[in-house]
Amino acid sequence: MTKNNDLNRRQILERMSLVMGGAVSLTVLSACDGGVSVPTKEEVENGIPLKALNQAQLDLIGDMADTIIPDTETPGAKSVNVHYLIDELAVNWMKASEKTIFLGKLTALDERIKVEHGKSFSELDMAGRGAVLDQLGAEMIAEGEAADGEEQNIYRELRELILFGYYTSEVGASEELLYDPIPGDFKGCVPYSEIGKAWSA
Amino acid sequence: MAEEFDAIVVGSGISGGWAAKEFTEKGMKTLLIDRGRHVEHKEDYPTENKAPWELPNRGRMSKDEQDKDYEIQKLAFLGESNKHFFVKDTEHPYDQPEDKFSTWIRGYHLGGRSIMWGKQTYRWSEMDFNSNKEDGYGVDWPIRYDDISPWYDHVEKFAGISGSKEGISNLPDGVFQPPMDMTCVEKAMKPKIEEAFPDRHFIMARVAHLTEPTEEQSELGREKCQFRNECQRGCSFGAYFSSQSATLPAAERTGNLTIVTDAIGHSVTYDALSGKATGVRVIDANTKVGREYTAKVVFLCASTIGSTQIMLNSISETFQNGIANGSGALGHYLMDHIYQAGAEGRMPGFEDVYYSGRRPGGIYIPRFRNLNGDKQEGFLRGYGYQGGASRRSWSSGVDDAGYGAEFKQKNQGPGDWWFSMTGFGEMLPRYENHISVDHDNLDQWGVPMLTISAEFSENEKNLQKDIAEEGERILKAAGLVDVRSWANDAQVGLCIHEMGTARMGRDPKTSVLNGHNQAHEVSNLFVTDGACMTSTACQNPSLTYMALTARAVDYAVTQMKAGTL
Repeated sequence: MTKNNDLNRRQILERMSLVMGGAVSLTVLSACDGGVSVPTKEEVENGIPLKALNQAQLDLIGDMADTIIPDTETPGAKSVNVHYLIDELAVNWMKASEKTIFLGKLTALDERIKVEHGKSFSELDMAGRGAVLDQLGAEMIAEGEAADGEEQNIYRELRELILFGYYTSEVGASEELLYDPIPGDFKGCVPYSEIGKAWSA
Repeated sequence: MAEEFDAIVVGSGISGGWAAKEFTEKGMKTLLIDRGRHVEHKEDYPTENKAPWELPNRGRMSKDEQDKDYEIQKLAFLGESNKHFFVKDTEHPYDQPEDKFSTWIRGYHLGGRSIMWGKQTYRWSEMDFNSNKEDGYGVDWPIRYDDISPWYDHVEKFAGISGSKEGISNLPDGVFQPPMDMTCVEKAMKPKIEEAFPDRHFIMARVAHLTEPTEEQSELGREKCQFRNECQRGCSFGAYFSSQSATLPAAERTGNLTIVTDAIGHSVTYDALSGKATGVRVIDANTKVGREYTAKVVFLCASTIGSTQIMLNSISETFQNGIANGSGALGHYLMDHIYQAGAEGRMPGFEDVYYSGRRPGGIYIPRFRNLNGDKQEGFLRGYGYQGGASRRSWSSGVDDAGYGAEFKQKNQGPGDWWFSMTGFGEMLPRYENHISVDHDNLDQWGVPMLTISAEFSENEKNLQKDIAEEGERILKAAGLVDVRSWANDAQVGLCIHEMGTARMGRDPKTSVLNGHNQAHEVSNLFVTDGACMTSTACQNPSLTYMALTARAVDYAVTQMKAGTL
């Protein structure tokens, strides 16, 4: 847990305790501690079992995430383990049938990049990765309105998962963007300069 | 445990909670039963305060689980953060004809749907109580606006409704706490729309959220809205009206309330000699063993379909087709609001302004069709719109194919302003839209299986088309661009505003309840939830259930004290 999250938790607990007459219940505490089983950095380094993806698929998603949302002043998508979240979502959110299609498309994409660029996405340098994403992006836009299911463009599907995973992560939602668990008030019309960033929720 | 109660209230949602509060505050020993589990205010809101990254799958609920257990519930607002407040369709099935798909969205627990409701609260007007008489669809309401108006005052004061006084004749003002704020774009749209269409108003939604709690609300432990807009997870601030936050604590502090949960209302017991209901038969949800409770009066507040189902199950020599069903109207005239039509568009500019906080509720455009001289060829009655303007977020980055530090930087700021609104249209009462029970086919608790058979007619479909077309015109007049509208196939039930099936009326030959929500044929049996509704108007109905319930309890207690009940 980062400092920022501790602050949010403390804010929540302080405000809750006002409501609850000082008695912060165990329910509230445990609610704040609950979470997604996305691995910690230590777990990643020690190697953790994958649930749906194979190593090649994980690397492809991880490095694509790193290229789409890189580390800047704040950590990027790979640094917050979006690729492991996508591994989780493939098992716990997608239908079993969708997962099979998704994995098949990932492998096909991996193969295609190797054929067309001579290397896997992870082995390409930044210019090479950019060329791949430019090409995939152009195809995605040319296909137009996103189709569902089997017809869905795999790059669009990955972008959706990567952006979703990043901007709902603790870093993405509360450091890169703004997150206020208990706003306390609603102001409908405020100069943007007073806020300065987008709300994540 | 032969405890004697003055009143039994079946169901603890919005109507049942009100019945319990009013009875107990008038000194009546009251038994409140609910078919579901106990939900303790604050303690039993397991997902409250969870940040997005703290929810399993970041809030994305397993699609296989949705398909398997929540085939119908998944069509509404089901998600990882609130699924514990919705039934599993696999555990609570009902039948329906293959060609008439209806959706019954519900939660079985103390407080019922008062925990997950939309909280939009509008008075009906004289026009709405007159509508059936006016065009001949459905029987005449046995009451008028003047009968219910003081009771609207009564329930609004206690529940806490935020809204603005507007002086609109078909949407009467009430007892309001300060309205919520409009966003900059909404503020800019309002004068444009009202100028282009002098018959239309663009106002803040009226919602059951505290913006300035009264002393009474504070005494009950309720606080002002914190603008989290995560209401469906439960609210420990008690900022929105629910049974847990408001009516149940009020009833409990009288010392006159007994709550029994996990007790499935099976039927109303009846004594042919006295011609009165004697109590309620329940099935223990866990042991599946039946038992009976007795009381001087019975209030059914088990939801529109739930209450009527209990009445249809209540068979006796006298009432072979359901208690108090001499009219044959019981189970018929099921209604909802038509929904799934609306319009949206982008507001150019306004890049230098934003908002803070997450507002539950938005703006409202009250009905303007078939009133004040407007006369539509294609449909009777009308609709209102609910909507709001907000700025797009990172999600628009999915489709634009960007990447890298610059892309990340761009996502850090808010996107374009978009305004979206949805229509809520009136549905006419029709005999053929009905529910029925099958005494030869029982569920796992021995309760006859329910069938729901309902569909929208041409009137509602034409009205829905108008929602889309007028929606586009309104938004274009407001200065929006990229305007688009929709009118999708609609199922009865998806608006979750089920009404009718035990309607009020003046004539016992054509209606089940009289003007006091009292069964014409069983004087100590009352139904005060959506089942009693004779027509639907186009406003969200819960406020009217609250007012009718408080009014009916007042009547019942007066009669009990006079010895006539």
